[in-house]
Amino acid sequence: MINQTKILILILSLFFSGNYNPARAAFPSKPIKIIVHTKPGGAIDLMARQLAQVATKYCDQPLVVINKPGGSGLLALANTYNSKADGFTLLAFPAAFLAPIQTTDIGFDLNDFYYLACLTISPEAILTNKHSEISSLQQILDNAKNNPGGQKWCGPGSGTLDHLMAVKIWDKANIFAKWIPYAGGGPAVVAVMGRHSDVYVGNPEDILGREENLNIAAVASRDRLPAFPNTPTFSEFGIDLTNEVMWRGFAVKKGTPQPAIDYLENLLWQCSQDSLWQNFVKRIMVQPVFYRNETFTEMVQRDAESSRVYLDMAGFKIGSTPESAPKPVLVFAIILVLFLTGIVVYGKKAGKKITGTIVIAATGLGLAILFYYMSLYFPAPRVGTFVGASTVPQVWALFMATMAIILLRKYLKENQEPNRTSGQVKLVVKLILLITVYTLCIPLIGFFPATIFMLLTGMFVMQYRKYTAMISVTAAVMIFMFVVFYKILLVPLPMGNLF
Amino acid sequence: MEIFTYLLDGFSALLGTDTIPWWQPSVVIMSGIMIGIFVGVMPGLSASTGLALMVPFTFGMPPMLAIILLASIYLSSAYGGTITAIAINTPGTPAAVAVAMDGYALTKKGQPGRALGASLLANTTGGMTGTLILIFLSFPLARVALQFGPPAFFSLAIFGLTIVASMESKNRGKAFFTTALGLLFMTVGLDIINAHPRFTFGTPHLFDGFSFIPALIGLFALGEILLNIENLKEIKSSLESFSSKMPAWRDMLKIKKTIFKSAGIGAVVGAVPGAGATIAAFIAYGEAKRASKKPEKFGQGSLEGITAPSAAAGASEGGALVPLLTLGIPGSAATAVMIGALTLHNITPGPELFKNNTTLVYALFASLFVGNLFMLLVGVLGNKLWVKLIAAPKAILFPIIITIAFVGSYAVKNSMFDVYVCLAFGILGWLLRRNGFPTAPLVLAMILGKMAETNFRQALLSEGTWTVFFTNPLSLLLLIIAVISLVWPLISEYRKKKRVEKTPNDAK
Repeated sequence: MINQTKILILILSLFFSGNYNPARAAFPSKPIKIIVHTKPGGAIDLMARQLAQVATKYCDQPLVVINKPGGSGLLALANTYNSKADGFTLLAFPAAFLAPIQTTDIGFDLNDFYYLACLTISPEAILTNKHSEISSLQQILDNAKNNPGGQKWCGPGSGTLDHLMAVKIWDKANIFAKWIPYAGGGPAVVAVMGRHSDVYVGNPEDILGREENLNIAAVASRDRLPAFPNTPTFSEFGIDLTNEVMWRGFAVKKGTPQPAIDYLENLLWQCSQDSLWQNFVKRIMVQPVFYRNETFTEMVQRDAESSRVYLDMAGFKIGSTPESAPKPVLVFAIILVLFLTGIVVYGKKAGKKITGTIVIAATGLGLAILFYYMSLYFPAPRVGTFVGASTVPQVWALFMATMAIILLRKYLKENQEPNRTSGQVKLVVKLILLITVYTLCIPLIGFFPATIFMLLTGMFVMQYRKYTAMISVTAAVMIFMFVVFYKILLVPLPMGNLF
Repeated sequence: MEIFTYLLDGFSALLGTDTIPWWQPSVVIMSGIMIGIFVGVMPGLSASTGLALMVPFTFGMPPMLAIILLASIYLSSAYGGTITAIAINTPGTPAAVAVAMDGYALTKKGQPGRALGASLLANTTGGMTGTLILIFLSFPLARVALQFGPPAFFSLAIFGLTIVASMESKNRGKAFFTTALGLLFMTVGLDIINAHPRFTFGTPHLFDGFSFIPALIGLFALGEILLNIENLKEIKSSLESFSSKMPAWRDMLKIKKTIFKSAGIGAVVGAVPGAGATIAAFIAYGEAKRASKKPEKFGQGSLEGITAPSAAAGASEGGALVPLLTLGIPGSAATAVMIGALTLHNITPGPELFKNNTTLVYALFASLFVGNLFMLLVGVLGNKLWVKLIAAPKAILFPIIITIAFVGSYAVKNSMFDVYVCLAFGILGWLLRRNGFPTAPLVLAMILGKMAETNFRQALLSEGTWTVFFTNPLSLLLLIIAVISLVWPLISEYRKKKRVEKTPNDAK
C-alpha cells in the first residue's frame, strides 16, 4: 500500500516537475538548489558552497547555492517548504533552526522535513577573556557562587541555540547569570574581548585567530578534543553536559520520492568521504561525521525536545501566538481619516491652503499613535529590568508626535509655503502605476520578459519616440543584465511561475 | 624600522613571487578596482553584497591574489558609490548619502566634473591616510576600539543623530521629523532582547526589519527619478550642458585641512567594530560644517561638503581592517565576508597572521596603496564618461536605473519582498522630497536607530542602572560631544543674527 502511494507520488511529481523527460528519467534531470539561510560568506554558506564544488565530481548536474537570508532562518525554511517535494531543493539545515521553527506559528514544523544526513558537528563551548580574572571554568563557577546573577554571558540573539545552551549550563551547574544578546556571534566575541561581557557561548572554532585574547573555558563533549587537548570538559567539573553539539546537515521537504532521496543520500555520502571535503572540514575546525536519516532525525528530535524545555525555562512561550494589538490597520485608517477631515475643515474655515507638508505631518502623527497603540500590547519587561520591548518604540513615537505637532502648528498658522509651480504629477502617477505593474509581473512572467516590457513602456511613457534607439538600448541592457547578474554573479532572478 | 623592510617586501611581492607571475598581482588589483567601482555604481550592490557574490571566484586563486582582489573591490566600492551619488543623486553605498548632499547640488549647477574630481581626490587621499594609519597605528587603535561597549555605542549613536541639527540648518523641523520617521521604521522586526516580533504584521519577511539597502535605493534612486520627472519641462530632450572640468588645485589645497581631518575621523570610526563608513562620513560632514568658515555654503555644492565625507569613507576602509588584522574580528559587514572567504583559503585573520605570514599582510598593505593609485587613474579617466552618461536623455536613463535598482534590491536577499520595499520607499521619498522634507536624516536615523536601541538595552541589562551612560568615561565624552553638536549650530546662528542686527546700527 505504502509502496503504491509512493510510486503514485513519484509518477505525479515527475509529471509535474516541468522538465520531465522520459528519455532521462533518472534523477537528477536538472540542477539541484541548495537553500542557505545566511548571506554568502556565512559559515553554513561556505559549507554548502564547498559541498557544491565537491559534488561536481559525483553528479552530472550542478548544485547551485541560493541564499535566502532573513527571519532567523524562517524564510529559507519557508522557501523549501513551499517548493515541490521533488528532491531538487536541498536545505542546509543547522541546529539553529530548532528554536525559531518551534516558537513561531508559521504553518509548518520540524515534521515537514526529511533529514537526509548530518555532515558536521561541533561541540558547544564557553569562551572567556584570557586576561580576565574570570577565565577558567573554576573561576566562573566560584565567581558565580559569590556574585549570583552578576556575571554577564553573551552570544548571538535571544532564544537561540547558544542562549538555550547558557540556560542549560546554568541549570546543570546550579549557577545563575545574565544573558546579554548581541546581533551575532562576531559582536558577542568582541564584547568578551573588550571585557564588556564575561562569558561567550559558542563553539571551539570561534577562537581561531583570537588565541591571544580568548580562552576556551570548557567544552560540552564527552572527552577532550584532539585539537584542544588543554581545554577541560564540563564533565571534569561534575557538570553533566557530555553531548551538546551544534550540527549542520541537509534536509528536503517530506514527501520527496524515494529514488531522489536515495540518490541525494548517496551523493552526500560520496562527498563526505572526499578528501577535498575532509580537508575543508578540518580547516574550519569542526568534526566531519555522516549521520544517516535515522540517526539524524533522532538527534533533531532529541535536541528539539531539549530546546523546548530550556525555551520554557528562559521564559519563551511555545506554540502560542504572542498577544498583539487588535485591528491595527483599522485603527490607523480611522485616525488618518479623522485627522485629515479635521484639517480640511479647519483649512476651509480659516481660509488656508492645505499643503503637502501638513498632510505628511498629520500622517506622521497618525503613525506615531499607531506605533504607540501597538506597543501597548508588547510583553512587559522581565523581572528585574525596567526597560522592555515597548520602551524605545514609545520614546521614538513620542518624539515623532512632538515633531509632527510642531510642524502642524507652524504650517497651519503661517501658511508660509511658497506656491510651487505644479509639475507633471500625472506623469509621475502613470510611472508609479507602471512600476507597480512591473514588480507584480516579475514573479509571474519572469524577470527578463517583465524587464523588457518595463524598459520599452517606461521610455514610451516618458514621451521618447525614437524606436530604433529604444529597442537597441533595451537589447543592450538585457544582455548586460543577463551576463552580469544571472551568469556571472549567479543572482537567482525569478523565472516566472506562469509558464 | 623593520616595518619599512616588511613594506618593501610587500611591494616586491606585488611584482610577483616564486609561484605568482609578475603581471598577475597588478592585473588582479586593476580588476578588483574595476569590479569595486562597478559594485559601488550599481544601486543596490553594496560592498558586502558585491564581495559576497565574488567569493566563489576566489576559490581557485592563490591566497595572496584572493586577499588583494577582495581588498581592491572593498577599497574602490566606496568611491563607486559616490559617483552615482554625485551624478544622479543615487548613492550606490550608504556612506555616499553624505556625499550626495553637496555633490549633487554642484552637479545641478552644471559642474559634475568638479564634484566628481573633488570626491575622487578626497577619497584616494583618505584611502592613503587610512592605510598609513592601519600600518603604523593599528595596535593602539585596536585597543581604543575594544573600549567601545554598549554604553559608548549608545552614546555614539546619539551623537550621530545630533548631526542632523547641523546638517540641515534651513529646515530643522522637517529634518527632525524625517529623523523620527527613520527611528520609528527601525523598531520594526524582532526585538533583540526578547525576540518579540514588533510591528511585523505576522510576516517573517519583516522579522529582521526593513532591508536597509532596498529602502535606501527606493528613497534616493526611485525618489529622485519621480521628482525629476515631475519637474522636468521637456523630458524627452533634456540635454543639459554639463562641464567635466576637474576642480582647480588651488581650491583643493585650500581645503586640505578638512580632508586630512576627515580622513582621521574616518580611520578611527572605521576601526570601531560595528560603527562603519556611513557614520564616519556623516560625522566628518558635521564636523567640516562646524569648523568651516562658510557653513552657509553647505548643501549648495560646497567643496568641503563633498570632500569631508568622501575622505572619511575612503579612510574608514583602512580603519575597518584594523580589528580584522589585529584581533581577528570583523569591523563591518564587508570585512565579515572577507573573513569567511579567507578561511576558505586556510588564512585565519588575526594577530598570528603578522607573525606567520608577514609577506601576505604587507602585500595587502602595499596593494591598498597601489589600489588607491589605480583608482585615481581610473577615476580621472572615467570622469568624462560619467559626465557623458548623465547627459544622456533622461527618458532612456530613468527606466534603466529603475530596473537596475530592482535587481539590486532583489540581490540583497534574493527576495521579491525587498523589491516591494524599494518601491514603497521610492514613493515615500518622492512625497517627502517634493514637500521639502530632507531624506538624508531618515537614512542616518535608519542606520543609528537599531544601534541606539540595542546598545541602550544591552547596557541597562548589563549594569542594571541608568547612570552607566555617565559613569563610563568614553560614553560620557561622546554624550558631551553630542550636546555640543546639538547646541553649536543654534549658538552660532544666534551670534550671526546678532551680528547682522548690529551691522545696520554701525552703518548709521
